[in-house]
Amino acid sequence: MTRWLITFAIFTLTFCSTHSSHAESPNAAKLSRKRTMAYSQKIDALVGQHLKANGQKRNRPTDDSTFVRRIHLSAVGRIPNIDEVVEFLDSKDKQKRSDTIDELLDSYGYVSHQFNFLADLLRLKSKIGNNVPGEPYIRYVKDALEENKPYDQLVYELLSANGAFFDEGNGAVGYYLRDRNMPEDNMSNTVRVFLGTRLECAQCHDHPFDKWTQRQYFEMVAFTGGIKYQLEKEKDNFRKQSNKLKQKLEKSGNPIDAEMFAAVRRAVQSASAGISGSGTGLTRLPENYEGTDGDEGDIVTAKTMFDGQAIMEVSIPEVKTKNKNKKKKKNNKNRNKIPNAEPIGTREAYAKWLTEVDNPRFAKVIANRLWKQAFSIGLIEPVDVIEDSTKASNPELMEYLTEVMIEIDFDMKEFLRIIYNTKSWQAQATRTDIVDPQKYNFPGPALKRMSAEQLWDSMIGLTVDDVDRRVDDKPKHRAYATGGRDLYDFYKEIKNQPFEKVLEIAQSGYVPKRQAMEEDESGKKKWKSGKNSEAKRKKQELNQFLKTIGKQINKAQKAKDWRLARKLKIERTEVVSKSRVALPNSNYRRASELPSPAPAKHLLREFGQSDRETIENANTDPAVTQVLRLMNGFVDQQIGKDVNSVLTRNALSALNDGGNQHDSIEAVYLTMLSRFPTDAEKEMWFVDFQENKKEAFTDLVWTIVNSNEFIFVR
Amino acid sequence: MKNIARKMDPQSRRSFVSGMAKSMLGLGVLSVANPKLTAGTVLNPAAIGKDPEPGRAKSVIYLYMAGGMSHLDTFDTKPGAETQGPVESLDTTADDVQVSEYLPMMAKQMHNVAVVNSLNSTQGAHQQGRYFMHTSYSLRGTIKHPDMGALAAYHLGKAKQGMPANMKISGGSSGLGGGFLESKFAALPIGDPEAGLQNSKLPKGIDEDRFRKRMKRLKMMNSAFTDQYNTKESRAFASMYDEAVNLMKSDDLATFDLTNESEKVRDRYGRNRFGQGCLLARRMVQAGVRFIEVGNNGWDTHGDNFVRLKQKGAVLDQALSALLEDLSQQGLLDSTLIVLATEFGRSPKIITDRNLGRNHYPKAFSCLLAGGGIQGGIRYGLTDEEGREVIDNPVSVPDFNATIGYAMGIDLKKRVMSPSLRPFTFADKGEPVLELFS
Repeated sequence: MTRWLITFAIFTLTFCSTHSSHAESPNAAKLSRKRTMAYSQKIDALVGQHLKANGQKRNRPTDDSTFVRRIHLSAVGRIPNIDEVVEFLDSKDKQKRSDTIDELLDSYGYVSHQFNFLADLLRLKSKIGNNVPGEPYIRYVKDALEENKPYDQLVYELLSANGAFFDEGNGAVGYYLRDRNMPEDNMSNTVRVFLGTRLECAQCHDHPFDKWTQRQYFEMVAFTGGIKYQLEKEKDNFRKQSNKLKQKLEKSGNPIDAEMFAAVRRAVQSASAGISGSGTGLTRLPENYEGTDGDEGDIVTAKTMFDGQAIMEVSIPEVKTKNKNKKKKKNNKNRNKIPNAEPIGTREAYAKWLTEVDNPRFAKVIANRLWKQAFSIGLIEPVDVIEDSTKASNPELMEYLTEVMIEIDFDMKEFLRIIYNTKSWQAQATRTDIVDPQKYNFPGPALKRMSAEQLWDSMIGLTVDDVDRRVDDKPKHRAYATGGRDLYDFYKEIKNQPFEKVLEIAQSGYVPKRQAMEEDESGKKKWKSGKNSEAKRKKQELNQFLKTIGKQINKAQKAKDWRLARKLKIERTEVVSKSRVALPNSNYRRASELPSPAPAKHLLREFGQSDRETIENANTDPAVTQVLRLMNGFVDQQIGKDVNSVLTRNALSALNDGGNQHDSIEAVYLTMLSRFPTDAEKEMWFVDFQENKKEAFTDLVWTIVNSNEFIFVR
Repeated sequence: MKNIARKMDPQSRRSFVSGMAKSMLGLGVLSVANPKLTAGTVLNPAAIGKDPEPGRAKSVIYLYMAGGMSHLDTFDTKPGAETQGPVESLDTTADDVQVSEYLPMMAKQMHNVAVVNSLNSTQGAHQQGRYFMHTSYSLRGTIKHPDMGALAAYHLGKAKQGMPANMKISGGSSGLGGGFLESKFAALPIGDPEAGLQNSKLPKGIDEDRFRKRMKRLKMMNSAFTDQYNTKESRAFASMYDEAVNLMKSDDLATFDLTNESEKVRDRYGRNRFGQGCLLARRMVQAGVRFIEVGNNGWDTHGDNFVRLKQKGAVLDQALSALLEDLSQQGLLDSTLIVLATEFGRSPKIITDRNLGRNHYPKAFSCLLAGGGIQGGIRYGLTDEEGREVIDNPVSVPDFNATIGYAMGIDLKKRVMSPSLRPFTFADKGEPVLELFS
């Protein structure tokens, strides 16, 4: 049944896993490199043929500076740091490009960057519903990327997900929770994201431009028929038992505190989020049905959209025909109910059908999306309005990429590795306007402004070390009811418990909190600050250190011992960098480790991070407010003047071993632009540095961050 | 008298009210406050077969009471009803209109205002309600509709170069904005009205000379880059720097600076975020901004309803009355539509649990319209004597928004295509309530 499971197992047995074994087994690594390059060469050949047929040539190859910056931004989503640049530029190894690609793809930077891609596609949010955090779903996606779960398996798991959201490892149910109570919309989203076409028009009438009918639409919806956005058991537990208990307590003259009751309700709601109902394969045609073959209220059975196949036997349960007038009076909620409909597992069948290799669209759509991620333009544009008549700009290449995707078992990382190793991708970016992306022949990648995430992650990299790290913030319940306890633990505790016990468990967190609040006015504050005492302590420690070392630096400067002063300053940046990263709720984190989406006023949102409301909603549209922020706000405050940044350290370190201001200027160029300054640039800034070192440094940093060369990916 | 007026259909009620006004000329209040009423011109143009003139509102100030403003405790009081709780009603300068005791200053401004008491929707959750109120469409998982501000910017464009067409002050209705439109139509957000436009001033320690030098160096770098990579995207981004420098130099920037107002005026609006936001909105109107939303959070009064309504009411009362007074003094009220909106009302049933609260109630709620061609001193639609059901002239949310669009002169039938080529209009299928216009 699950092809990926079998193939994956075979592959693991014979090859001892894919690239992760590079280090242990040089032969396997060589073999897999050879395989990768064979795919890359074939792609180059297909691109080359197409270019030739159109009287074009591939762009010239990139130089090492351009390449090292581009591969970092593309594979790990940030600019390279100075060591990464210098090491690469210095290396004489002929395989250094392929080696760098492998190294980067195996780092957490890859996960972080690819998470942004999936977060935009799947609309991943830190808050998925009322009182329900999105953390388990986010964690699930990061885990999947870290273990490089095959794409078809990932999608299968999302579509067939079932059970409790807070059961460890079961975050995939977030896929349905994200579209809570909107099974129709969820189906449209599924089709758009995974099959690259738009069905939403057919939700209300036959599709005006494509072939889909409204009936077909609901036949697809039927696969998820009977889905419940809750865990049946827990809900019953709570509703019935809580009311019973409430009444009991009221009768006994010891009624439950209303605020307490509400708090418990919220906590239980959070912890018991989940999905149930494996799919009845049935749904009703909606009110005001406009389609041709059917009537409002008719029951339809699940059928697949491309060939109208019933991939699972579904029978309509017998229903006593009711008086029509009576039916209309029924309230909306029950209107869509189908009596006696049994869950028979149609969701799993749907997940299997959609991710199957013989599904004509599934592999093609992801191949095209990833191609677009690398080249900024898809072979098919737009990527998700694919109709029967849609033609790729290079149809042979599109076909081939689809085959490759299937052959490599939907290994997204390997697919990107193949692309990054092509000469086509390693060619210079196209230098003129691409008027019609549907006719682009791919002489090289298109020039593109950094995404919001690339920009933010690069800036964080200018500030602190080791940015490619995963931070899993524990999802804590906000309400006092759980005393801010971990929701995974809370779920474990209340799972299958009678309500009396749930109340008791919740109260054990709530009561101390409540008492603290009632003690005095500042009780709430105290309770909150108590939680962050660790952060506070760390901050105090850091401040103490800064004070001490500041004095030492002053002393050294007074004594004109510049070397010592410099050494101390460098030491300071190292300590500060470490503590900045380690702070709980630190802002010095990559975009993937911050709330999703970032708050509305965050630099990420300013530069077009998706609000995660609709599919692929990120943009790189320019705006005055963006450049105002770069010119007058962020750069000066957070980067230029930051004496403890990585960038400052690089400029200082350049002065060691007899270096001079020329070397500092060089270090800034290498850190920010991954290249050496030209002689003219060096001289120009050198004059400024002679005049006023501090001002010249911030001016240089300001100029580079604001430049197109910085913010565009060549 | 009030009950008689309420039972009438709006046309006859209006002439009744104007008749009453004439007979009360001697009272003074109305004659000064609303010359239209005294002149007896309050005829319903729709009634004589001609639609009111659309497009009189050059700007809209959209005051959004997030959380769900209790209709009973503000603009739809029910004196004597059990559902009213302890709140008293005040007579106002509009004969047919009473407001709650929390709004004494507004009581003196109601001759400028049309109260719509018959709003109703089916969206009883905050996010859904807010979305519906702002877009006229239900929240969906497949598409994001542009809000009215973005659509106003899209249809009407900028009135003045250099200034935005659409702004949001201290709001932040997550998930609302330009929707499927280009991001340039989305509102320019101003978090703190007193902070002005973010980052529009030179950073500390950077003087003009140094800034010029920086810009010179930047131009050098960028021209080298665009020589090599002459693409639209690259040129567009570089050109933002020219626009930004222009903005930093322009007089428009002073528009964002509330310290240009006298202390007296600033006090009159109320020294709080909402009050100062309303003042900033007035300055934006003068600078030609099309649509300015000012947010005011905290109306979700499940508990402590009456305590909190008193506080919320005081802030609203001061700011809105100041805004109306100010705009009419400056002669801007005719060309500016003021809207007071919220996602739903609050339950007539008073919940005893949390020190008297009210729950969400979308079945009947109240919003205000003023200026921009709207007739002042009237109420439209009616709820029953307990504020539970709309019993006369129901106004749907799309109808209400269509009325706003009509006042702005937007073609309500004009279709805007989403990227997947689905057609949408300004207020879905809403029809403007023409009776509200003078």
